[in-house]
Amino acid sequence: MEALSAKTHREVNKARKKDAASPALKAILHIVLWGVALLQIFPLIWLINYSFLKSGDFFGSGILKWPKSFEWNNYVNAFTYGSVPRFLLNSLFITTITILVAAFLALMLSYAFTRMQWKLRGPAMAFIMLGMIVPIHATLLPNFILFDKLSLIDNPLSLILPYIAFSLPISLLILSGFLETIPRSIEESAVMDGCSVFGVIFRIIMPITKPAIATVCIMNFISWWNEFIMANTFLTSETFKTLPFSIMKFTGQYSSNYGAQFAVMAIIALPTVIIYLMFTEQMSRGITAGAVKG
Amino acid sequence: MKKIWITLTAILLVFTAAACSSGSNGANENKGNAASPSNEAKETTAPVEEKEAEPVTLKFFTALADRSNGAGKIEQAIIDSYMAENKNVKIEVEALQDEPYKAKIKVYASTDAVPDIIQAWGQTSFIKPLIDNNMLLELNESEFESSNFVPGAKDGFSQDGKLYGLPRGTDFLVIYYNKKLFDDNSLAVPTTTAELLEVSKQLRAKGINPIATNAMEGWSLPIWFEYAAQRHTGDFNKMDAVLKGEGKFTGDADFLAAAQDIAALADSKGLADGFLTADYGTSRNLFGQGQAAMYVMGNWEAGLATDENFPEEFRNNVGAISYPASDKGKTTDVAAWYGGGYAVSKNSKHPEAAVAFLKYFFAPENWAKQVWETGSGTPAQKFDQFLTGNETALQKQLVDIFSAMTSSSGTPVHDNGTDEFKTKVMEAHQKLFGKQITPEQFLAEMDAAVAVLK
Amino acid sequence: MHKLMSNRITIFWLVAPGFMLFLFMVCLPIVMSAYYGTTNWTGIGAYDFVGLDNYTNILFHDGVFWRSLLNALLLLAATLLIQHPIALLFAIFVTHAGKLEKWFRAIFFIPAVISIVVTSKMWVSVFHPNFGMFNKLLEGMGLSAWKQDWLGDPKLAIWCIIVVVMWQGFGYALLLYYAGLQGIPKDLYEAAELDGAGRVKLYTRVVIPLLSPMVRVAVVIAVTACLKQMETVFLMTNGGPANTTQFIGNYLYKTAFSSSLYGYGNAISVVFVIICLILTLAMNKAFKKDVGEF
Repeated sequence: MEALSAKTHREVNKARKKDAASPALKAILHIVLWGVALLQIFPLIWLINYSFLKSGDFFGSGILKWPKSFEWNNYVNAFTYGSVPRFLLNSLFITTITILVAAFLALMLSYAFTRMQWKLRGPAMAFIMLGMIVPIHATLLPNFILFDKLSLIDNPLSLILPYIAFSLPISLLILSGFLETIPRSIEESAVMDGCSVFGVIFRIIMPITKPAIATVCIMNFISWWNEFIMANTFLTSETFKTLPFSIMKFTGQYSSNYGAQFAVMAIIALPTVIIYLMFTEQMSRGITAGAVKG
Repeated sequence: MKKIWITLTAILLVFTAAACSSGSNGANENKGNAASPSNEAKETTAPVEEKEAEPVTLKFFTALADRSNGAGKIEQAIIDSYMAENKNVKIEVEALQDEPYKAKIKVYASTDAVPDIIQAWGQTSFIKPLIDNNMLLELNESEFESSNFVPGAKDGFSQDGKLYGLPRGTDFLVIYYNKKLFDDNSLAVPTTTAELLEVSKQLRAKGINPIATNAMEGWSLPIWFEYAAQRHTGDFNKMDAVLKGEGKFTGDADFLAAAQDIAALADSKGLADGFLTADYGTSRNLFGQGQAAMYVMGNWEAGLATDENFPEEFRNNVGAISYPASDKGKTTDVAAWYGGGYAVSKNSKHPEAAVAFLKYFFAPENWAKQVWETGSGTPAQKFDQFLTGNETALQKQLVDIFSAMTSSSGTPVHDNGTDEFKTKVMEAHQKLFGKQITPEQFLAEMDAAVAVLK
Repeated sequence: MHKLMSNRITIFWLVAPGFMLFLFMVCLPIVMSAYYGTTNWTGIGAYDFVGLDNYTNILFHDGVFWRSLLNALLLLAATLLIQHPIALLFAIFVTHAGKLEKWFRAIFFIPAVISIVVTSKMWVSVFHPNFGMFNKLLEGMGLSAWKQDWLGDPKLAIWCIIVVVMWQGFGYALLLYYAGLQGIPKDLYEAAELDGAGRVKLYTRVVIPLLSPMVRVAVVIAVTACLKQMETVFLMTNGGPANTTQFIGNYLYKTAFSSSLYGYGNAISVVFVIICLILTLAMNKAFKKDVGEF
């Protein structure tokens, strides 16, 4: 390849590229994309559609049904009896603390593992990395005994602590990968200016690693927002129950009212989807940044 | 041991806090959030201890998950009225469906943290480990005399002459049917086991689901099989004898015939589509929405006739029969047992309050009356004084089955042993009904399950 | 600088919080599990030590355990051989979608952000033999004979579970590959086009090999996710019919809590962790060899 001609042809090339993909090809591409996109969200559409139906309308033929009358009552029931608002706040509270503390601890750890010089850093890092493959369910039984001894049952800490601990390996992986790519010269000059290590981490490293921290937060958010087996085991009173429990509670209580069950599922699903759509740009950028550098 | 844990967490918390503050110049947002969990914890524990003197909080753990229908609604109503009458008592209800309930109660028991009042079943598999490990409070039988429990009802809750719990109801397995579906297809409700098979075939041929049941949870199947077996052996006790080690399932012609009956029913697709993955709610809906002609379930579902979620046409047409007869077993031989009830935790901080609540709960005009009048079950207490004559046709049919009973099965087979035994028994039944094993293999699996008991 | 970076006290404060939490919440429970795994504890009351009986039983006499492991491997194979190639293909498609690029990326990811409790309940309804979408669809197309009791059929059920898991994870895999594609310098495409290489060739010869670091990340994530699978199964079939859809996470939960074999359940989780460790080490070895080739 001659670099020269490449440069001169670049403009032409770009124009050609747009045209080159013939309209027919483009159309096929879009049809395929829409097809799969529909497959991905169809169940969601179906869920919302049925949440407006009476339980009796569920049976019979037809895949999507235009409701004879919109059963808003389903939503009223869901909101009142599913305790959705409270569970939503609980979920937000627990997840937020988890992802912030996890990011914070992981940043310190990854700094120590990539920058500081100490004998055991290799083995120590490998050790934590092994945690990535430990299934959270394997710790369910002993953790219950542990929390009981600590009187932490029915306390948000019983979720936050394991959530953070299990977030560490993957967060560490991404953050330390990112840190490796940051030139040390910036830190060195800061140290010359009399900055402590903690100062370096929080004044200099943290702003630079923001994209990677965002990735870590997002990945952890997804996993813990949806976690429910621990939540169901360690929390006993409704005060701290998280959102996934709402649906479990509701299917028990409204077992014969399908419409209301679907309404509560829609209520649980929609906020995450909306939040996600709002942050989709940051989310993709974060994952991109972390993945490419990591 | 305990001290070590506490020290460890203390160290941990100190570390976290210290790490936060030393980093605070650059990480303000982290500091506030990291500190809050411990604040939260303090807030929640402090008030309870302060108020300890006067008000009483009772934790009430129940498996009646549906708080807006049937028995759960009544349970909640009684709790609410008790709290209204006794302002100092607060009853915190935790309600889960059967299976999650049983899993969770084990979690509580393994850490000696059983809630004050729990739902208990007067069956070995459930209550024995709790009694053996000294987790249930002994109740004073005389305190509950005015509740008029039916003779024998408390037996399952007693061990070595001591009473540890009180039964809520008398349970028996029946077949509910949708009269309209039978009439529309000019079929008669089966009266013999042969007819049951034949009717199932014909319903299936007409594109109607014959029998719905909740086989995903699995407990209805072994009781069903007890019926099928009794219709061949003519005696419910024969199965109990096998469980005690007197004889085997394998090689017994009657048990084999019973298993073959079930297999024949399964082969002719007598069970509703998807019955193996149908949980309680799903199977109930299938029947209630007129999608299945019959429904094998306990007598506590008299509310089917009044549940507004179902079409009126269904509500007016639902009926119940006992399991069809054979030449050896009559319809008055019923698989019946005393079902769920309550027990009080030995660790309860307020045992008197818990017992006082149970006394209130079982006062005849509360549970027994209300559960009967709403058709949510058959109480384990005398309730003839509450018969109003306004009962639904379904309720009348159920009470007829109950009062005509000449022999009963007692504790369901799977509840007659350990939980491991129970799991094995239920899985064997799921496989038989699901056509994954032959009747002979089924009997062998049952014997293997019995072997676990030794 | 060097002195600062090897200050033991600083290192201690950086590492200790995260490391201690990790030890406490991840390692300690496993040690406890190993201990309880040598007992016949039923979860209540006293127990006896049974030595290594539980462990030998799992390894040599427990068909369900191996079935669960096999299911995990089946899921893994499906994920790697079906989900990932499609995800990669669609990641490439998405980059060519023009204005709608962001939207497609967002839509494909939606299932991953919805709570598993909701998606599972939803799919159970989709598979429902009477009112489920699948059977209605078949009926609508005049294929009534193909109607199935999807989750109740021991042969089909596991595939239904696999479809659901792949559906939910599709967006995640796609996003990873998409991120990888973003990291490839744009010049490369142009240069290749100048070379006269066809689009297909461009991707197979140039782009995909460049994506290999990303593939590695995606594979590691897939392996851990498949082995740890529990929630979907727990909520959809609870392992049934007859343990044909059992996964280890669910099996150990069921063993401990439904069968009250608490000691045995703990032993399962220890064996599980060990198997995960072995697999990861093997994977690492394999990938290290790979690295040399590029």
